[in-house]
Amino acid sequence: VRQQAADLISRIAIVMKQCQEEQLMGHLGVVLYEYLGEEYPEVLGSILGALKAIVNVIGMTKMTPPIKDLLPRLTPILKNRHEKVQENCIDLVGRIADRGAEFVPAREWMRICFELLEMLKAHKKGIRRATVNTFGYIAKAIGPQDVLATLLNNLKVQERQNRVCTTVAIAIVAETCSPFTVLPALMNEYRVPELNVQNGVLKSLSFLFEYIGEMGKDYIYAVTPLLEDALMDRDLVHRQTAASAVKHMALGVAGLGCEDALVHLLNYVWPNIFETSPHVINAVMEAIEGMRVALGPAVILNYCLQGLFHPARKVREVYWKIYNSLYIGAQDALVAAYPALDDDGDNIYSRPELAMFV
Amino acid sequence: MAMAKHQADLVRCSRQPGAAVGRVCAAHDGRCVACDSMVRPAAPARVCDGCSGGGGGHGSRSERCLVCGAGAGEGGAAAVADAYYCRSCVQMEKDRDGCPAVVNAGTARRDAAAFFFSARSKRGGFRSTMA
Repeated sequence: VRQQAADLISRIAIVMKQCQEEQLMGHLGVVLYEYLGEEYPEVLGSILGALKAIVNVIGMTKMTPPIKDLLPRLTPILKNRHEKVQENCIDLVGRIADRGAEFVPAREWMRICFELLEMLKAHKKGIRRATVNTFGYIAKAIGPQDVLATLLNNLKVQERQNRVCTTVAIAIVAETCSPFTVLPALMNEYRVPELNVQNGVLKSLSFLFEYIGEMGKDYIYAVTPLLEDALMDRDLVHRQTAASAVKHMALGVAGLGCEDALVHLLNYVWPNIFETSPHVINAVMEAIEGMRVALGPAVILNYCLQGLFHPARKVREVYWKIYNSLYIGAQDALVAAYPALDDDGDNIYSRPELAMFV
Repeated sequence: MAMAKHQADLVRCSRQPGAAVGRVCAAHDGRCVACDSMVRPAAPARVCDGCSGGGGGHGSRSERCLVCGAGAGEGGAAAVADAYYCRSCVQMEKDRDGCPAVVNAGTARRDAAAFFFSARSKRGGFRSTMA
C-alpha cells in the first residue's frame, strides 16, 4: 500500500501543480522525507520516485523539507544495492545537483561523488547513465579541483575495478569542465616514476580522448610529448596503452587539421609493428587503422612499401598484414598512391585510361 | 566482436547481415559489439537471417544475446536491448565486417560449465542440487 501510495503521488504531482496545490505538495514532501528509513527496497524506490516528482514540480527553493536537509539523508541510501532504489536515488541527487547545488555544502557533494564512483560499475545501463550525468552536474557545481585531486589519488591506490571507474570519472569531469582543467594534473601525475601510476594515467588519457571525441583537437599538441615518451618506453604495457590512446585521438580529430602531430606520433607507433605480444600487436594495428582514417591510406601505404619486399620473411609477413588491412579498408583510395614504375623489357607497368573501362 | 579483445578464441558468424537488428542481454547493453566500448553508440548491429531466427526476427534465436548467447531460460530475461556499434568502429568500417553474432562458447565459458557439471556429479547427481 505504501508503495502504491508513493507511485500515485509521483503520477499526480504534475496535476496538483496545475491545481495550485503547492502547499499540499510541500506537506507530502515532508511525509515522504520521514519515510526514507523504509526497509523494503521496492517501497523505498517508489518513495524516492515520488520525492523526485515533487522536487521537479515545486522547485528547489520552495521544497519542504529544504534541500540542505534532504540531501544528507540520500547519501547513505546510495549504498543500497537494489537497482530500483539506486536508479531513483541517483536521479533525485542528479536533479538537485543540476538545479540546486548551491543549497548544499561542497563537502557533502564530495561525499556523494565517492558513493557514485561505485555506481559506475553497475550492471544496469540506466544506472550507469544516470550516474554519469549526476557526476557531471556535481563536477560542474563544485569545480573540478577537489574532485580531481581525489580521483588521481584513487588512480594510485585502488584495486583494478575501482581504477576503471576512476578513469571513467576523470573523463566525465574533463567533458563537463573542459579538458584543460584536467589534463595538467593528469600529465603531472605521469611524472611519478611508478609503472602502475603511469599506466593509470595513460588509460585515463585513452578513455578521455575516446569520450570527448572532437573536443580533443585543441589538446593533441599538449599530450604529444607524453605519448612520445610512453611509446618508446621499455615496458610493453606502456606502449600498448599509449597506442590505444593514439588510436582514439586519431579517430576523434579525423579531418580537423591535426595531421602534423598525428604523423609525428605515427613515427613512434610504427616501430612496434614487430612486437610479438598479442595485446600489444592488437593495440598497434588498431592505432594504425585509426591513423588510416585520420591521415588517409596514402600516408600509411608509403610507410608500408618499404617492407613489402624485404628479404626477411618475418618482416614481409608483418608488412603484408598491414597492407592487407589497408587494402580492405581503403582499396579505392590506394589507386592514386601506388608507385609509378617504369616499363622494363618484359613488363609493362603503365595503365592507360582505356584500361579502366575495359 | 565484443569480448574479442579479452577472449581471442571467440568466433563470429561473419555472414552477410540482413535487415534484423541483433539484441543483447543486460550485461552487454550499451557496449559496442565489435570493441566493447561504452561510449557513442552510432549504428545498429544487424545480424544475418540465421542468427536472427528467420527473416522476421520471431524465432528463439532473436531472444538470445548475440555476444554471450544467454537465452530466456538461462537466468531471467535474455535480450533486453538492440545491439550497436560505436562511432569509432563505424569510422573504421568495422560495422561492415559481417554478422557480429558469436557462434562458439569460448574456453572460459566451457571451462566454467565443465566445472559446474563435475562438481554436481561429485555431490550426488542432479537431484542433490535441486534440494
